[in-house]
Amino acid sequence: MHILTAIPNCYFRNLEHPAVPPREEFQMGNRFGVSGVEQFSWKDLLDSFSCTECGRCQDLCPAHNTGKSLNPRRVVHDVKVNLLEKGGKPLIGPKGEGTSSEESLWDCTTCGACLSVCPVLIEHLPKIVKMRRHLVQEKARFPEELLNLFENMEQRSNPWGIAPSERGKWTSVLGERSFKPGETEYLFFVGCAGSFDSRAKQTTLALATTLDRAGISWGILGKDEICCGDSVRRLGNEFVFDKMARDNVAMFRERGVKKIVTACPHCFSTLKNDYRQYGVELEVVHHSELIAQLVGDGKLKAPKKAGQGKVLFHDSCYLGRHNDTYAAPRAVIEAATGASPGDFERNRENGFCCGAGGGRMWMEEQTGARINHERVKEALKQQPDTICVSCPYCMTMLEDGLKDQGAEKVRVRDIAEVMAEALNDR
Amino acid sequence: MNILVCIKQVPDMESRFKVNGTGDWYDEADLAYRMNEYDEYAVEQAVQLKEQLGNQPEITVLSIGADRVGEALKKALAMGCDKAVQVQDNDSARKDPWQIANIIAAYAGDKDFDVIFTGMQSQDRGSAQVGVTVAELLGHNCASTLVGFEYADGVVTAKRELEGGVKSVVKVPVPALVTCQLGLNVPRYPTLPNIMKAKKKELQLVPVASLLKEEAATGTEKLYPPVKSGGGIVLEGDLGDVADRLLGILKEKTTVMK
Repeated sequence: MHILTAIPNCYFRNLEHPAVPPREEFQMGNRFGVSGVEQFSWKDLLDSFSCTECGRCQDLCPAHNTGKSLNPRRVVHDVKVNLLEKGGKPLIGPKGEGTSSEESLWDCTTCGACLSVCPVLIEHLPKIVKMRRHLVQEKARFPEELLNLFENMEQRSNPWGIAPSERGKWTSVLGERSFKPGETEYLFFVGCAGSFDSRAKQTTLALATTLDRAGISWGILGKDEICCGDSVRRLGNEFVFDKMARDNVAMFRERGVKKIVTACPHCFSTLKNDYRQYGVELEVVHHSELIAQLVGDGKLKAPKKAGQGKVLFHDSCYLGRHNDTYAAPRAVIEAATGASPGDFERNRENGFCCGAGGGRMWMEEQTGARINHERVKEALKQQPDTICVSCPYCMTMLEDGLKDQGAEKVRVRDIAEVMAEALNDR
Repeated sequence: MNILVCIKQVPDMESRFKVNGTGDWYDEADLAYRMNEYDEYAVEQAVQLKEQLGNQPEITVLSIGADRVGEALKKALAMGCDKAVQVQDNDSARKDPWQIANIIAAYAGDKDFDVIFTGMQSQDRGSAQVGVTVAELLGHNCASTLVGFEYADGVVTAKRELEGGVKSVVKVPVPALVTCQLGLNVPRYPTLPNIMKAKKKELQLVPVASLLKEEAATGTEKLYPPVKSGGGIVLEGDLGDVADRLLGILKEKTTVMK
């Protein structure tokens, strides 16, 4: 069967590059998410018939590799079996052929490895998000730790639940840095991690001082900034995401924001790709791209200071696979240290998730080995001095993983920190 | 069966509070509001009781305050209450617990509520007086600080939290009023279809003047943050040295070593 359907399946692939979940219409009487096979789109169903069962997706899946319930190949297979049996079985329920378990749906980190490796371009990810939407929105059934997350997002517009008035506090050492409509060039969308997480705040400051050194005009929204909504969208809480996205888009329009820089790949991908569905075309750059460009343009003199020892670079899923950006962060490290960083065994398109994507950052990891431990062990084989990241979630996961493995002497640094440290040393 | 739930909308306790211009309450500017935590347990318990009785009881949810309390009422409706009452009062923060209880009792007086749920206290004022005063005014049986609730044959079996970790179990025949404490239940996350249905549920507006005939029994003289009385000390350096210094401080400034 797959021989017949695989070719049209490739032809009908989603043209939005990272499989951005479709929007939902919040009308009375609508169904939200997918609970039965008939609610999938025709493309979702065509996908299921195109699978050659080659197993590449399961080989690369971080959840499957660490002994969790999720197997992306099975998700697609179960959709097909369920359809062939005309929905006689529940689509979501006790694990069995034709049925995905709730546990397996919550295991997904949305890293996108399954999508990128599939030879017939099957889109596993949107199916999982659609089924999560049903569980969250129609049934309010989700791991209990998410109750707190959803409340924090709705009430305080950030996952930590810290008062919104604290958001701009990190600028206290720099002075007033508000975005001024018509004057400021770049909106620095700091993001929740960069504003509230004490470790990520160091990256924020490093980026701010690097941009200052390059003479870039930037400003922040301060207490008016709200979460981009990445986690809630991937977790299937589309209703809350939709409100956040509309509020953000309205604010960008009101303040005349055109260019945005952010140090978080989740903010980056959401603002750049997901918000397109809300009718805005923003010029969003990840800080790796902007710093690399500033070095290229000669606005930042590449310091080329060795001082980080042996450096490995860990690809963030949402910068790499979801947005095809592999060269820029490596170029920043090379400009800062004078040498291109080493790679993990699994890198770039085949990179292995840190375990925090898809809202997993806010959930307990109870089954199997920990994904961040796997990734850290992979790094330790090469005995690095520094692991470089380009994402605040990866930072947390790898630092925690190193601590758990008793390898705290290995540092984790964001690319902006590496650049700022090298610039300060000159 | 008729059920009443009384809820209050309070500021998010994560907010930074400032004293207002008249020095008798907090400044409302820049505050985000939500349903009082203890009242969420009250709503949840009311909805669980309704479900237990085959969805037959009708739940009315009541809140006193300015129009912003509509948001808290909407959440209660989305959680499963049937209709909402807003007692319109832009100056509810200046009403004392006696007046608030009288407003609720005046509303509930002729409506034959079998069970009334309130939070144990509000997160902002924390007087813990309103629920029990309403019960007194209506002549209902009352149990406060509930961490367990069962209902059968017209009797509420209430598990109450007392001081020092002690619990007591009391049986309260209806009509009864109970006040709800942390640990009673986990308030549900409203589903999207229920959020949408809530928009179509009845919201009745009642002017406060039609219910309140009582003068305040207490008034707020002054509101101010506590005076800072010394900060903490951080001891740093060699571990043995730090231990010696700590011992010295404990001996000199406290009685724990005597």
